Amino acid sequence: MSLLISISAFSQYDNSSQGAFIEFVENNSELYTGYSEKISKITETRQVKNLRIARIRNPFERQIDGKLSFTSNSTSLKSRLLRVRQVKYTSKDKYYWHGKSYDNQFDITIIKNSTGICGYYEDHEDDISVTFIPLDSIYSVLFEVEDIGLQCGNQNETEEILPLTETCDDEGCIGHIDILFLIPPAVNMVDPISEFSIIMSQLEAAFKNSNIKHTVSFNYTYTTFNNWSGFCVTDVTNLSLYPEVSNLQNQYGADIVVVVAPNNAFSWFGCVKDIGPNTPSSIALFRYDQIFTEYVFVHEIGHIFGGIHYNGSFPPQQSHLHADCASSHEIPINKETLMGVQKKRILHFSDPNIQYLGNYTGLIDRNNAGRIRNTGCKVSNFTQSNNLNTNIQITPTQDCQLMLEKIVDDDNPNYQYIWYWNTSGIFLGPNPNNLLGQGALITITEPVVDPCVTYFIHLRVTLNGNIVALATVSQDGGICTENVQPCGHGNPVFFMPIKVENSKQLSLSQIYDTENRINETKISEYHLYNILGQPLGVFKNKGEISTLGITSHNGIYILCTITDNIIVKTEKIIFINK
Amino acid sequence: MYDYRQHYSKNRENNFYKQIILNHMMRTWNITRILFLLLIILVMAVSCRKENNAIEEIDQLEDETYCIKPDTQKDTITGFYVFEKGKQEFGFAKGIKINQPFEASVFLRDMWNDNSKFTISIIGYWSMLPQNGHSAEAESINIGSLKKDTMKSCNDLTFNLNSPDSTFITYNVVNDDVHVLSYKLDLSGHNKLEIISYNKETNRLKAKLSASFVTDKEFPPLLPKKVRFSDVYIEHGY
Repeated sequence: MSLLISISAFSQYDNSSQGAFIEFVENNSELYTGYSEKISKITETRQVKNLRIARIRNPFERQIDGKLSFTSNSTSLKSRLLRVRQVKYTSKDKYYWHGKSYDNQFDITIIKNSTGICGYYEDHEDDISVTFIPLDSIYSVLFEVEDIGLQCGNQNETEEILPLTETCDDEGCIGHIDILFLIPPAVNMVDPISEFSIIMSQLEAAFKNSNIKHTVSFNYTYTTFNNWSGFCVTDVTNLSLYPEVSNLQNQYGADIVVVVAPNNAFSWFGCVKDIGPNTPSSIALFRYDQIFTEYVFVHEIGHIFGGIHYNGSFPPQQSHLHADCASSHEIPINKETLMGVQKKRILHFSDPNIQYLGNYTGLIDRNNAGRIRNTGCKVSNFTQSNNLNTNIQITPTQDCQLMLEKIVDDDNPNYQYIWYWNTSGIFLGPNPNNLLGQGALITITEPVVDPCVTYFIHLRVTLNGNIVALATVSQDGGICTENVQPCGHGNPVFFMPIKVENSKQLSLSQIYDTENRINETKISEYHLYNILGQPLGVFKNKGEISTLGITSHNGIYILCTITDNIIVKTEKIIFINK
Repeated sequence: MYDYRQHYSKNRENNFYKQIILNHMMRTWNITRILFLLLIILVMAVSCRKENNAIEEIDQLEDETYCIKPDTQKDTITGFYVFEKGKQEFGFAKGIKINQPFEASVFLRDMWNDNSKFTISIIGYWSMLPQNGHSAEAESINIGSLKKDTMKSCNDLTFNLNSPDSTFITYNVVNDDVHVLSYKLDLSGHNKLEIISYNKETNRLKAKLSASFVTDKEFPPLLPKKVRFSDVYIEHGY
């Protein structure tokens, strides 16, 4: 039955008549010999395996209502229905597309730039991560980077909570971070635009996965620094004192400088000058041959936002306050969030309210994403940006409407703000369809109520009729009904788990033992259920429910008020805390 | 302290056997043997000259002031971190940090752009923290770039990466890939690296180190402004 549902749901988006979305080239194709020089350049700089050439289609031409039928001509790569998560579209020759399967087992980022199509996909089910770099405007080479493994120490899980020196709550503002990559003479990159685009897209995906709204952009240029000592921290210190580096940082309006070190320049993958957000000289360094290994670039950027490896592993003598809560979190499938240094990393910063394959990615005292949400504006203010950066803040209202607010670096009173929406993410021409309204802050009725559809909200900032800045963000439909409708092909309705794993504030005795609790109860308490009637927790007051992170999925829940063992009130409640 | 005199005991045995041969020749005198004797004398003369040089070197190495002077400074500060020694899988360093004994792990690595040179890293670790059971890299004395062809040498140390005649050294406190505190070489200290022996085929190294460092920042008492490493013996690959 589920297979039938799966097939019928998938067929709506079936584009098989147009050929596979990823079309692998036969192993004996002359393309392999034609591009042997470029392929050897890629393989000589890093340890790769399963290298193949393929043609990747334009996702914007294949997607329907924010859904893409992902197919390939290889039996090793399963067909899936993908949900679009994030896009940037300038033209057919310049775009960024990020999608994820409904079961979250597969995600892919496709970037088209002047050299061709680059990006990466991850199959979490089979634990495969594939990177692709363009060979020309049509074909790309796909490869896996050999897993050389992070160091393995002894990991003894204990749960001591350390006093927080700074907090990891979510009160921060949204910032735009300009990153400048510097290439020294000893580094000969294969395709800087594509390679930097891939790791930047990993940073953006990590932000998206971790509910971090900051935006990022990058530039790259060359540095004359070539005095490599053989030791990462010595080099990063020397770079921070190298006048040209700070000059370039100011010239490019960069908040963070990232230098690419030669292959094997030191034993580490990379390092940072300091745990941030500390100084305007935020500088990170990583080895070119490790550019695609274990998200090393995203890890180092995490440090600059204040991320630390593990609770309490930092000396208290740091030169500035840091937050113990900004640490990584191990999830029970032998992986860690991005700031970990001992196990294979997932593309998430730790967050107690976000799951990865059914496992929470953080705890209340392991909330790296919260720390990044907090510190983003401080990092974005390190250096005055050369561009007018724009972002959109979407806040659900209590009556299930959406409040749209512009975020613009320069608050010129003469700016006009015009809002649009659609499901493709393509907003071209002077007057795109689907005008939502005008103004710096508007409240709208949700344009899409289907929780299985992702749509896009687009903001144009104009001055005297000329566009001065643009922003496009994705939004899932049905802000008040996220948990009531099955999405994808054959997936069951997703409900919150019955207990909150490893919660620091919600003890197991407070959860689920509903019958006993009713017998013991003499005063009012609140029993929370999902819409199937499965109990989620028992609470002394209503305030606890929203603060415990039990409701990270928006939607409809049932709340019973019990006094003297009698249900005195049953109410339907809607959580919209995202 | 390592006793390097044992390396020269075989040379002394050789001298003993050469003397026996000479006595025997003196007892069996004839013309052909005279010629043979002259040849032997010639060989021995050359050999003795080499031995004299070796003995001079032994004398120099036996003299503790040859490269690394004995530590006479007395520090009274207390409360500073003495880091964990780590697994010492490839090598170890033992010596005095300020006024406390310390041990660390030692790693050798080819220079990134020149495999005729190598670097030495002496690494200490943060204590295994009860909060997470993780032992991160903490203290890092980095010495670079040494020529592999130099089997034995006495090296001045410098903080100048581009020095043509001295060996570059840094001392950092880190947390894995995060820089915490950088020290510079204290030029008023006794800063020397003595390579006792190095075999480029086996990557086996024996060395001694004396170095003092100073930093602009300090986090007393755990990370003091001045740190002095003395009587440090380094061994790798054995």
